[in-house]
Parts: sequence; C-alpha cells; structure tokens
Amino acid sequence: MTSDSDADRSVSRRVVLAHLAGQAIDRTPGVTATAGPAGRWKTIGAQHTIPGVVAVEDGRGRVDIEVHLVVLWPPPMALEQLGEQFRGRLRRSAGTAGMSERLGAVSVAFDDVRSDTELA
Amino acid sequence: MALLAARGLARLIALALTTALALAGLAAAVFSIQGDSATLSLPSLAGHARLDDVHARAGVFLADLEADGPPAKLAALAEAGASALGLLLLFGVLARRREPLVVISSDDGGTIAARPRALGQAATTLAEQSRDVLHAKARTTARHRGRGGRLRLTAYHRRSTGQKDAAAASRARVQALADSFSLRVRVRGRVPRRGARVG
Repeated sequence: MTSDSDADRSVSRRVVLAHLAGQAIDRTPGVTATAGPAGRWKTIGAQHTIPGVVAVEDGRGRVDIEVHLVVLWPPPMALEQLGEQFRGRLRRSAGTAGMSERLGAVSVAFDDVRSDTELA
Repeated sequence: MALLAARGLARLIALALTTALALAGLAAAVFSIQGDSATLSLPSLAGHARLDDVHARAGVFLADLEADGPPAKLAALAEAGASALGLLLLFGVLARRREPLVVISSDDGGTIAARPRALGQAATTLAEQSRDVLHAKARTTARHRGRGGRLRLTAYHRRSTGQKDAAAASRARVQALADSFSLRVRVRGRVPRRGARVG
C-alpha cells in the first residue's frame, strides 16, 4: 500500500523530470514543444503545466519521458542528432539533479514539421 | 467562431442525450429488481411515468416473448445481435487507433520518431517551393517494423514544364527531409486536370 507521502514524492519526482525535459527542449535549437491538437501531451505540476512532455512512472520508480516536438525546417542538424542531443542534455540535467537513476527511457516524437515559409 | 459554437452545442446535446439515456437505463434496471406489480417492478415504473397505455400494449408483446416459440427465439437472436453491435460500438469509441510513427532510431534508451502526416505536410510545403510545381500532394507511410518508411509525392506542374523536370525539382526539394527520416521517395509529375483548382 502506498502512503500519501510516497505518492507525493512519486508525483514530484515525475514532475521534476518532466520540468527538466521542458528545460532541455527550450535549450535545443530548432524545436518547440507541442501539446498536440487535443492538448493531451502535457504534464501537470503543482504550479504549472509542462506542454509537450509526457512523464510516466513505472512500478520500479523509473520515469519514462516522451517529448512531442515541432521542428523548424530546415533543422540546424540531422533530426537523429537533434533527438540524441536532447536526450543527452536531459540525462545530464537529471544527473546534476541526482535523478539519473530515476530516469527511464527518453523518447522523442517530431509531431510537426514547419518550414520557414509557413512561419513567415 | 460559428464552428466553435456549433461544436460546443453538438457536444452539449450529445452529453444531455447520453445522460438522459443513462438515467433511463438506470431506472429500468432498478425497476427490474422485483416482478409482478411490486414497488420496484416495470409495471410500477410505467405507472410512475404515466405510461399505462404503453404498458398495456407492451404487456401483450412481453407476454409473447416470455412464452416459448418463434417470437422468443427471434427476440433472443435480436438481443444477441444488439449485444454484439453494442460491443462493436464500444470498441469503436474506446479503442484508440495509434498512428504508426516513422522511426529514426530506437534502442533501450527510447525512440526518436516522427508522425507520418507531419512529414507529408512538410514534403508538400517543400515541393511547392519549386517554381516548376503548381501544387503537390504527399502521402507518407511508416514501416511497421524497423526504421523509415515511404514517401509518395505527386507534383502537379504546367503543361509547358516537362514531367521529368517537375519530378526532379520536387525530389530535390524533399530529398533532405526523406534522408533524415530514412524514407524511400517516389515522385511523379502530373498535369492538373482541366478546370481543377491548383495552389
């Protein structure tokens, strides 16, 4: 049975990692987060919502992160490289926050591609 | 604005109707607990709802159903069909169709992927940047297993532009996108039908 404090800790762990993912998106060039057409892809924290980040904690306390991004075409680098850069950045941030053990799989989905002309 | 209002109204009506249906079903279930003319029986519900006439007419039909014979078999068959249809509708509403993603890379640490529809839109936009192309249509499909997928692009061009030239120009525009996502590209040039809208 899970006590309230365990649940709170679990939620905050999940939200902290989602927050770190949101920060990693902001620092990755050529991409922005998207919550999707139905606004489903987001993590709701105590103080704010993190759009484009879905954080799911498994039974072993590891948090899988799935980020949904819009990429501006042409991208600054190959998309695989862009995704790897994001994952590396998030893993480093989680390590700095002492949560690298808690971070599970990090998946990146490019849900929309926008060209310069579409944004102009 | 009008569209949003219409959608809101449609959702409100759907909610009201489903709530009414659920309440009616609940009432029917509760009033089926007892038989004959007891408090929680269907005749009692018909009395509360002032549906005595309906009850009288339905009573004959229900008596036919209770008796052995062709009407009972037909009713059982209809009930089985209705249940199957209900399950099918529930599956249609609740089952979420996941669009397969075009996978760029995948390992234990996670997956990097893209949505085919987004790639199709991007390919269309890129192809239409070519001066030789009036209008483009793209269809992207993901491979069910492994990386990559297929991109089929149709470039509509003027009669004065050669089909091969239009296809080559479109291919040049989308090649970088296709390479990034390991997409096999097939491009064909077409002249729009007379009177068709382009652009």
